[in-house]
Amino acid sequence: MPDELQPLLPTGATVPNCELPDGTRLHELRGQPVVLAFASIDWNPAQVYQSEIFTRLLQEFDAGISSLEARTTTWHSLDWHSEAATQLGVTGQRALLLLDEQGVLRWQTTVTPGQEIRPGQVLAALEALRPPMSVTGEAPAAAGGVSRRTFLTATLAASALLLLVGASTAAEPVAATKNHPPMLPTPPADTVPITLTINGKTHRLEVEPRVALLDALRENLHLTGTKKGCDHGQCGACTVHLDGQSALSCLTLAVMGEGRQITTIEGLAQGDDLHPVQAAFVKHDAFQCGYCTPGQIMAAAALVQDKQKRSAAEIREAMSGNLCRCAAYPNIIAAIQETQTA
Amino acid sequence: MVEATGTPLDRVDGRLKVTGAARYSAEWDVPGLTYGAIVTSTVAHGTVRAIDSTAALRAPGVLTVLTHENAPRLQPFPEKVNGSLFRGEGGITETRQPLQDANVEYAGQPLAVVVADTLERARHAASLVRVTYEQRPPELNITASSRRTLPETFTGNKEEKLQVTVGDPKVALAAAPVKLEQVYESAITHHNPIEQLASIARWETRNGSEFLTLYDTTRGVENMQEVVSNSLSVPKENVHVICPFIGGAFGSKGWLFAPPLLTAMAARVAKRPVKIEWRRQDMFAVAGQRAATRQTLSLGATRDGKLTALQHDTQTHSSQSSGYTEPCARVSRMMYAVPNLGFAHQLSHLHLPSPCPMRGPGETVGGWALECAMDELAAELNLDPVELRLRNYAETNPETGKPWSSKHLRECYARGQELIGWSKRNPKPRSMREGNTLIGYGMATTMYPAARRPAEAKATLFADGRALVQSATHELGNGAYTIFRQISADGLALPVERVRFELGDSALPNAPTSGGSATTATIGPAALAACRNVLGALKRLAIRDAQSPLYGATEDALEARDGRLVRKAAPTQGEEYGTILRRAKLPSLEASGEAKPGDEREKYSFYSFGAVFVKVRVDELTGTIRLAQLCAVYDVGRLMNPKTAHSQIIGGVSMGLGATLMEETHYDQQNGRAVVRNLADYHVPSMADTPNIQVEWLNIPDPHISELGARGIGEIGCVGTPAAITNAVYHATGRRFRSLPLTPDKVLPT
Amino acid sequence: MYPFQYQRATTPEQAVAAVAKVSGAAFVAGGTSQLDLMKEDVLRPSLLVDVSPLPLKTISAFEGGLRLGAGVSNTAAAIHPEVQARYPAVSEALLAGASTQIRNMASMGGNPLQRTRCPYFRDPAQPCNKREPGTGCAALKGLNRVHAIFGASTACVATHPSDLAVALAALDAQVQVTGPGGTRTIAFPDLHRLPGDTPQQDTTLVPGELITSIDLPSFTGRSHYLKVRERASYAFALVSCAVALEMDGKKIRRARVALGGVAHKPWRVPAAEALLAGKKPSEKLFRAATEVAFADAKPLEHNAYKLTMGRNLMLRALLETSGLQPLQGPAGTAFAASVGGVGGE
Repeated sequence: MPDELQPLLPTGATVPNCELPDGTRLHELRGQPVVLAFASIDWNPAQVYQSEIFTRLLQEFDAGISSLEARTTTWHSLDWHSEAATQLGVTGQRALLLLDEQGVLRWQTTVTPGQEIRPGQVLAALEALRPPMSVTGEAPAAAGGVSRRTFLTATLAASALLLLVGASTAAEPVAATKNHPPMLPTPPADTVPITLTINGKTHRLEVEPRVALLDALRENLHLTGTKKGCDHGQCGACTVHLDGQSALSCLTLAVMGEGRQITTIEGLAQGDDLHPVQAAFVKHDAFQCGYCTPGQIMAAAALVQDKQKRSAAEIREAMSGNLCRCAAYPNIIAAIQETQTA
Repeated sequence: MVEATGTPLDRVDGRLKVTGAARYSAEWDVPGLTYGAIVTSTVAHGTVRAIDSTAALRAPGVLTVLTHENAPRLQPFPEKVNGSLFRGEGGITETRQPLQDANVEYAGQPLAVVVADTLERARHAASLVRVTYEQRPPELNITASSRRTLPETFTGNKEEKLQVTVGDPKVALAAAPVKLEQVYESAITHHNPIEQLASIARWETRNGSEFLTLYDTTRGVENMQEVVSNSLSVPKENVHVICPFIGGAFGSKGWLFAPPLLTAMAARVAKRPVKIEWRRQDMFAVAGQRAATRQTLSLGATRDGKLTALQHDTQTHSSQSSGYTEPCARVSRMMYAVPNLGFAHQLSHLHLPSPCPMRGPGETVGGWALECAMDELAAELNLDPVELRLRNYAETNPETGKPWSSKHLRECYARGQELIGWSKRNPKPRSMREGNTLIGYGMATTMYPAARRPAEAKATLFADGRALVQSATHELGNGAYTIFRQISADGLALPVERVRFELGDSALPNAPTSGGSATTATIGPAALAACRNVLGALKRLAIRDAQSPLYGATEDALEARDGRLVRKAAPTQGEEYGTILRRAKLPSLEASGEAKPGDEREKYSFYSFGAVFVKVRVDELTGTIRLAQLCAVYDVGRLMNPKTAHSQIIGGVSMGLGATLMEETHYDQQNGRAVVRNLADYHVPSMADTPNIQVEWLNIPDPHISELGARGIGEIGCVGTPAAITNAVYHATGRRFRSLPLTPDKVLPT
Repeated sequence: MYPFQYQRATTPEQAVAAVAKVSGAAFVAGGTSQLDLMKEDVLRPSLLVDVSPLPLKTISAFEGGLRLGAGVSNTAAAIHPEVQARYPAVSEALLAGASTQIRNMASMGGNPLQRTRCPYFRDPAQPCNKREPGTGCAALKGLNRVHAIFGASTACVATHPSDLAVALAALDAQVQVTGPGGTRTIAFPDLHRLPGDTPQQDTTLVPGELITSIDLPSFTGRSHYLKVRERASYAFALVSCAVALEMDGKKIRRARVALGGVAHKPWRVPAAEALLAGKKPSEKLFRAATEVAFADAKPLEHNAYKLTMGRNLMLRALLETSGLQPLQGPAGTAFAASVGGVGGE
């Protein structure tokens, strides 16, 4: 995180009287809890899905949040480069702040770019939280003396925020997953514990030996950037790097990935800075539907590592293991030509 | 402000796609997700005698096995959905509801779903389900089928009759000084988008009522909502279909209802969210296909090359439960000025999977046959192939007599010839050579109907100066997110950075299935209407607001400019949208808009046109063909975004290349099983097959199609390319090839 | 996929012992062919012993030739300077095969052991004697466009798909094997077998035998590989041909020719080789050799084209190897091997 950022406001502080996009000032809203969510205005179509979940959550948690509903129905995220973001110390971060009825900051969370998020976990955690509330009508022992309604609201809104802004990148879920009820009665019996190093991070999993690395990435770790196009090594969509070389994750057993450096599309960019191949793909429109694209980019990124200048014919031959049914091939060639000697 | 429409804006979803963050249908992280695996029929025709699920149910992690014996009952398909004929001859989709009976109509038909806690366990358990059959011999041959019909229309569209006679082609053919009759055959091909079919179904109870959320690889969220709710007897508003990204469709993923229905049924029975991701092997049975065709082309002409008669008769096939008919005469019916014109389509119902549209349905293979026949006629008459086409240039639509909305095909021919160096070739066949290879040049005309459909959109202005425009259309690589943002930005007079366009959700304003190259002409005007309406509402706010500099003005006296409403007469007098909203204490302001084609459709015939020129290298001793160069010039109206348009065109061209040189699905002629059922045996073009492609367009707005002047471009690239290549192979070798694809075994001289 | 146990090997001997001990056990190295078939339920090993950690990844000088460790990847072998310079047919065969990713994963030991591409073998719902002995051969009466024209039986008409194997057969490579009975050396042309009545058996290896290296013998002549496929890249050969030519002045001292895509194994043509020996290269001679080579071919319903294509390809391979015709691309690259080259100017 860059140093020049202002520190976060401490919990318990009274927030400055920021102006919101609709012209309202924060102090005018005293008397009800307020949720402030900050995100990049870079748009993400997964919002369609997220707003649906949000609406649903509102319905399910209706009892606890009726006073919030009026605001949250018009809720949309604030620009993380806005004046309010600066005043609240969350510039450039996905952040969620909850103010109580007196305008005091009661709860906040920020999400560093690059962190992983699992919308499903958040949702599951919320579901786990639900029964005691609906049954007893009493709040769980919430930390920090925050009222039940506030706590609920915070949890709810935090989930919404993370869902809203996080589906593309990543962060630990706000709500603890230990409350996640086991969805399936019996844990798989024939699994083996494995440790995979993916994008520099260590992941411990329990998988059957027959689980392909591709499925471990997509289904177990929810790193869905690596795509399944054929599952038989015939399309290249699942290309990852194993120890720096391009390889097919669909024909690699997850157990055989132990001890190797695995890089996926999620690990190619440096924070917000795209890898040069990624940037060149955008510039040259080297994709259409985008589904084979992560595999193309991983193959191309491995190819250009040696900084050799390859002819168009050599690129054609070297990249033929990555099928693109939209046939963005000429544009992929142009993108690679631009990056290979850079 | 510079208009955004027409500029080569980078795809706005580019960053999501290059970072792996774009979320496709199989990728939603739904809590408690379980996995479905499909058991398919191993035979092509017969009845299921018994399904033994015992072993599967005992396998670890298995939650349930659905078969026709225990699956929930489904309502039959409606006759029509949103205007498209579903049932009957010429209907667009397979109307067989899954797991409702014991009949087996093609190999690979879904017979059971196994649900388990992991993907691996579900797949393995599916292999443990034992099915026994009462087998009957399958019918697999177009020309020897016992069930043959003559469908009246294509998908129920009265404008598109499949059996037509204009004048008297029979008599005219008999009297023609020059006659040509040839049979052209094309193979079954598959769309094979790289993203496999996938659905996730999640049932919930809300206020005592059942809700279904369905994430599905569909380019028709509204149709899907309609069909799924109808099939499952659930109110339409209780079914929510979501698909913000599609990993390619090309005609598939539009009319496939069995896959999501199986998922929804499995989730209902298992009482857990279920995901079914179809295997590539299964997609050769359930994802649709382009049917094989056998087309007879008869041309009659005068000695100086004027066509006097054209008869185009097609034999094609469908499954037992679909009436889909490949409309092969789509090009023949409108391309050339011919007074006597006839075409017919005969459909054989076989024990093969159901076909459906595939990029350039009818045009790609029907246009191939016509344009090859024209090349043969040109050779017969010793005329330049371009010259023959110019002599038969249609100034009006020969079938309907209507004038074209806009046609500049002559310019396409002229520019295409320049680009490829047409005049420098030796027109004599088998006259050009480089080393081991024969060189050939060929050309063909291309076209695509410029359809437009009704659609709705919603526009929202926010007090912070941003805007959102929404419509339930789809992003399948067509650039919808990008161009509709551009169009909306112009409609709102805002910079593109401040406008978002959302799609892919059945809860959004109504939009049709994305197909037929109609999305731009359909959604663009609807988005503009919504933008206009929201600006109108904003004007009325300002006019009534005494604090506004626009107070008291008439709506007509105001215009939107650079994110401000201003007085037309005095543009310095005005204010930003956000200022107006904030003063009114409104966080946002929204308005709907709708747009539909009007009576211009009665007056004009709407088509895009183009000319494709290619240079091929043929290594005759091994039968190997490579494209050296392809130059194409298109008249597609005004371009919305030349960057994404270029990509779409080269994509179409490559799919045409694939259909010409390598794509072919075989079914075993004894048992009807797909013999080609993976991407190693089904060859789609690789990067190594790609020639140098040079694409140009005239960029002349169509004055009648809509205020945007844009016709569609999704399919025209695929049409024309096959004939241009085939004609070039003739020029290279002096031999005619009338059977697609031109694989080495066919090209090799025997 | 059927469930299986997984073990990582520590030494070749330990790996052999582990596989020999368990019924249905198999080795796995790159996995590119094996996992593919396991996902189809065509292969159902009970135990996979992972030999990829074994120290078999070196290329070293050996008796005047080169020893390619069984764990050397296709990529590493193809771009090795000694392989490129002395055995260009090997580099060409490797680089004209599969894709960059698969070449990075696949290994010298595994590549020659890949199973047939016969579509009937790969579909468990189809009869296939190779997959399930006694069920019959669906390809005989079915679609047999890519099937064998030499050495087939009524039980099986499958072909062997490896490009590398064709080059190794022409070069008379040797296969070093460690097995339950100790080590042995197999001449490459003897590694694979014809289907006969037991098509389930692709090779002469006995259960538990592990390839530890492929040895390329000393060779001072020219070698070359040519391949015809339906797509410009990333496709299996319809027909391929490897030639190893040793000259004695202007005359051919010894010619070895292996054909791919035509039989259950890389198909050497001894009669044609004998015809070429001691003669001066000429197109006429080479044509005569192709006639001899294909004299015994027995086409099926859909693959008669392989006779013409095969003869034409063999002729071109001989012309190019002998220098009577130029190579289509630099020696040792995919461009030299791929007939037709890539698209574009």
